[in-house]
Amino acid sequence: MATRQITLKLPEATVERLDKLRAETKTSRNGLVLEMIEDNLASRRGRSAAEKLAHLGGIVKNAPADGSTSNAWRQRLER
Amino acid sequence: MIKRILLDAGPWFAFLSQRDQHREWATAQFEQYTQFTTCEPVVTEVCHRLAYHRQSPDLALQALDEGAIVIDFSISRSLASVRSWLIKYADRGIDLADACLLAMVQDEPRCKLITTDRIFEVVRMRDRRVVPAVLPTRAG
Repeated sequence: MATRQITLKLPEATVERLDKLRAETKTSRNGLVLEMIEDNLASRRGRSAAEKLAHLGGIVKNAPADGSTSNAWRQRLER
Repeated sequence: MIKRILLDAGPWFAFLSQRDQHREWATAQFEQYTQFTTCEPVVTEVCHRLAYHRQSPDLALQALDEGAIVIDFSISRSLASVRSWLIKYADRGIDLADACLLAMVQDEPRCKLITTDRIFEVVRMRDRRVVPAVLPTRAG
């Protein structure tokens, strides 16, 4: 696996928690961060599209129920 | 095994729109799947419909940013296919987004197409298969 070195800037409290976890798990900072990123990505992939977009569901309040903006779109294309 | 779930503009906008007649159905589709695949003309249509209702087109792009919807289609790579669909179904009022979605179905037959557009009920693929479209049930 190709690797690349990057620098992370974390709040002091987060670094303290990371080091506490490092002592408890005997895992390096690098290993812990990698694990957390993988877990986060897996969790994001596992969420439904509705969960990912919960803040957007029903956000448009003024569109007609019959979907007629679709026709407005087509009329615009025809102009 | 279904490889890809394709998304048309109708259900996408229905999910966003509070009063849309298909909102409940569209939300159920969004609850069922983790990710949809679409093409840029569909994104353009949703952006236009948002702008038409004085909403930021960025709301459509947020869905891409969240990874709920991904674009995985290039017109330039599938130009012949897209053009053939536009020509074949010109009398049915097929638009560019429809033609791109059909080219995507042609590329990956193991897919489902989530749509509210009834044109996909009459279209036949090159091998006479029906389009694997999932549509809301007709009212009445």
